[in-house]
Amino acid sequence: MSEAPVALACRGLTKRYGRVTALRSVDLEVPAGACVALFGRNGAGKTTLLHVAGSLIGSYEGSAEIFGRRVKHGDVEHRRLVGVVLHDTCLYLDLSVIDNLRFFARLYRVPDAEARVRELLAQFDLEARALSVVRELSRGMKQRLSLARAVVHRPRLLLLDEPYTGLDELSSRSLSSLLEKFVRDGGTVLMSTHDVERAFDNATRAVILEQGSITFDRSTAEIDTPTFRHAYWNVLFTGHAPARAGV
Amino acid sequence: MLHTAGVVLWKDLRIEMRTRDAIGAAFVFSLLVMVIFNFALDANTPEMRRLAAGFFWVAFAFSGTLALNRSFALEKESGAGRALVFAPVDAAGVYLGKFLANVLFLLVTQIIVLPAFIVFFDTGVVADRWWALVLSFVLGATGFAAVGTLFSAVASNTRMRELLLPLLFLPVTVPALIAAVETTSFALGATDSASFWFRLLVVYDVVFITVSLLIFEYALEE
Amino acid sequence: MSQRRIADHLTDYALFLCMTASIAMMFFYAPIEREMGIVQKIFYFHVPLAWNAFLGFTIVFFCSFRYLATRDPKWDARAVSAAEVGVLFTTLVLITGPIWAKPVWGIWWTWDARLTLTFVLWLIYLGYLMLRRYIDSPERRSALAAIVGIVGFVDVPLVYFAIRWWRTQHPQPVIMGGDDSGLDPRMATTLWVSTAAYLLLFTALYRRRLRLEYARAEVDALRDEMEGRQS
Repeated sequence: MSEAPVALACRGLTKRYGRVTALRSVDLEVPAGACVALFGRNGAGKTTLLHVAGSLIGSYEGSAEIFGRRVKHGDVEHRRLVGVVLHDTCLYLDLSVIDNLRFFARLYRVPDAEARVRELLAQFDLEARALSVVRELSRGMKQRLSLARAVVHRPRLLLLDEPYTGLDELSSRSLSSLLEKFVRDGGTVLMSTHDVERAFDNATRAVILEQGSITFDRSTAEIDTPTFRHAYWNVLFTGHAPARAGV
Repeated sequence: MLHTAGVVLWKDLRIEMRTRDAIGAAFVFSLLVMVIFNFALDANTPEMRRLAAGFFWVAFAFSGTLALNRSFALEKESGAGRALVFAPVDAAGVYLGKFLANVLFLLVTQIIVLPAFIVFFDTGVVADRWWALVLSFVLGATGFAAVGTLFSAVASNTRMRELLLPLLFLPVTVPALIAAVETTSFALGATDSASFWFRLLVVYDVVFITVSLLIFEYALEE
Repeated sequence: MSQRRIADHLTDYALFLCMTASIAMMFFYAPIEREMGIVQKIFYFHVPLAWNAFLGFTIVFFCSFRYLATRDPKWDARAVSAAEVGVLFTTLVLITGPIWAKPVWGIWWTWDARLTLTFVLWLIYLGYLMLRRYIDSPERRSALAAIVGIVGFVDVPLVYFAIRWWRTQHPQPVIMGGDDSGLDPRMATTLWVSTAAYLLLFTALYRRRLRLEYARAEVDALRDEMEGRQS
């Protein structure tokens, strides 16, 4: 177990915006193959943490490493290992579905770009609308395309920022099974979410972030969903750390 | 860097081919400006024809701004531009790709507007000075796009990008605009020499492409 | 008394002395110009203001550069302070120019090379200040403003050469006399004293503006902290 590579290692990770501290000395280790669900109130720092891991934030204190490579301004190679799904779909609305995928495949220098694009269209059930302009798609389809975009380059680590928000039941299940497959195939997932049910479908670990610090970090095997939900709601509504149930 | 530039250029061209937004808007706007000039200034007199080149470049300055604005407005819509930050690409390559796309759009606009312009102002290119016109268009569009692409990225981060883009970058393009007008005037036979202006345009282009390549990453990041 | 306070007092006293000297010399020491008469005295405001404005923009360039290299907000604070005082001085240059031109030439403006350059510079740095107003995030604001601060400054020599060459091809009256007009030594001395006076004025305004900037940042940060605690 100690030999397993670490997908994301944050040590003393701190991010300040002026005098506001979004992340306070965060220590988080996400081993390869894990699926970590990140919970917390809005403004707790979940998005900031994901943005640092996704190379969207240029400067920070402490260390953040992706598979042993430090996330650094200007060093781009580690970005090849990471796929990012944000609040925004990060898609070009005036391009077709297939052109969007082609663009990202080429941008990431995917070796078998055209074949890979076809493969993704099939895998994400987008073939029927491949030539449609993204502007015309439903939210669920855009989300699927966004996910396809995120994995076009076969990343080893997938970062998702509240991926279940706004999805209907069908799309949610679909996303769940896609993530499950991703982890089964050896990938690592770190996602922020408010959806306890869905998260516990896939997650191997649950982490709660409060005002920039981690106050809860346990394997999902050790706690059951209702207990966690109770603790999490405590955090959401009262702002207090959950009872230190053996943390 | 060249690979990234190529992919970004391809993407911008694809979008333009599909929507024809930038060129369409720039073209219509140019014609509109020329029509307004005609009514405001009675452009059909010999004196005005000498100033034809000036009118052309004023129309270009305004319509070009529209096209440049769109360049990054696209990236902001649904956060596509963010992908250019978390992807393993260098900012200079992104700049180069967008810059080349903008140069192409501006050139196409110029070419489409030229006939209308020649007709409205009853002017014409002097027989052996066609090379001057081509050079004038290319260097002028390049200079404009060099600074405009950078400032478009800067302005797209603000609440008032339509106002800020022209305010920020038109003053900086003053040398290029003066030079462009002088070189086009030369091509149209209104002046006799323009070697200084051609040289200035080249220097301007080189300086600002270089500076933009170096500084662009700061415009993209979070 | 803290070091900063001492420096402030010194600057203020020096400024008072120098400015008084400058004005006194302007009216009682420097001779009245033959052709233009007393209106020429504006020269002693116009030129020092212009030089110091340019100094201000050089500071903006340097500080913008340092900011992008270090990300230290202090450099950004310095840049914006220099820019604001620079724009103020440039505005005054643009006002004193026409005030001089009207009695002497009969027209307010001639697109004279130097004044045009000043006008373009004014537009560029006005743009710099406006850009800052429309960006909410402090980090983005500093970085993007730095870009404008650098590109704007790089443009200056190009603008200068372009306008100057254009003016030689399309000559017009020159404000404040051409480059070749000789300067009576008493006028020259007065000019230097005035320049020093405006340099001190620049410094005094700059320092206060810089402190204002720091205070503003602290207030914003405190407000964010308080809001963070309440929610």
